Amino acid sequence: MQTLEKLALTDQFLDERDLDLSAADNYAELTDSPVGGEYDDRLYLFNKRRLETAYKRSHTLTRLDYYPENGEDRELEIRFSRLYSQWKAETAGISSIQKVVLNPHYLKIIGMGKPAIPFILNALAQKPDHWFVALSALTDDNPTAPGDNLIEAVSKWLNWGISKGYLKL
Amino acid sequence: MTFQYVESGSFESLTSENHKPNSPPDPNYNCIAWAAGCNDSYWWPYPYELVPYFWPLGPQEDDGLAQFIECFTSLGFEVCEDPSFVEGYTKLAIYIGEDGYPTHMARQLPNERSWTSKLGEYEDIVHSDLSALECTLYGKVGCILQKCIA
Repeated sequence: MQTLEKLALTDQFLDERDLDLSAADNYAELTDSPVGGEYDDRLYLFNKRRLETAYKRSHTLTRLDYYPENGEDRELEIRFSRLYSQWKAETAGISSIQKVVLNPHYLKIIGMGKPAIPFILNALAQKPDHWFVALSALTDDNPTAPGDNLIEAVSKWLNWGISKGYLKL
Repeated sequence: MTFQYVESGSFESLTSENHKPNSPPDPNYNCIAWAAGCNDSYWWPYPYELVPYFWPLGPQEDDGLAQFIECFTSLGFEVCEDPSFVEGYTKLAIYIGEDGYPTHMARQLPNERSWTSKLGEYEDIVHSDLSALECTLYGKVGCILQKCIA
């Protein structure tokens, strides 16, 4: 396996990569796999590849100001991915906001503290979701206004992320 | 074509005979809004104003069955016993979990005499009867409401 830290978010990387993820290219399986070692590498690379694909497909998608390439940031990204996937697996079919935001995996994401903010905003840029409670808790801010629907709230939080330097257009 | 609600494996009572998918996944509205006829907002009772979630009666201390009945009563519905189709009436079903708290709502379709449900953030479906969505995630039907539309 190539050294992940050397892989860049570039078209050249997309064309040249030769990593074999075929045996573990199911996101749910990856996030359920044991923590550490090769499983983390695969999950990290899977996330990265998915983000690259999203960026290539959309020129208007709000982007992370940087992508965690190594060290603690990369570990946080992997932890966030696992918690996010587990949270969705347990709550995507339900409507209760209380149950959604009190899910243990969601609370663990809030427990990651401010380092989780860019990952949440990145997830929000790719798919509207119930991140508002976490974002309000982590940032002690709220750019939304009474009466905003979900789409409007997402847009305002993404603009907030741009204004604070977490995201870029 | 695969459907997210099928892939989730959360709805064990659904079969190919008792339902059909109706529209693509959309996280912008939920089953409660859909039961009320809305597909552009997310309804759920919450203790304080929490954008972007909506509840017609404003913030609620609890999200129990009483809050749901009070809300839909304010919208012209009344509690009834029978989910059977009655000409000139719209009927709603509130599913409750083991804890007695609402988990889901379905709306009866007047023309097809079947029911429509939005499954969390997944697709909305048309199902032939209420038992099709009785499952671990949603529990069982705990209340039927009706409203005269004639």
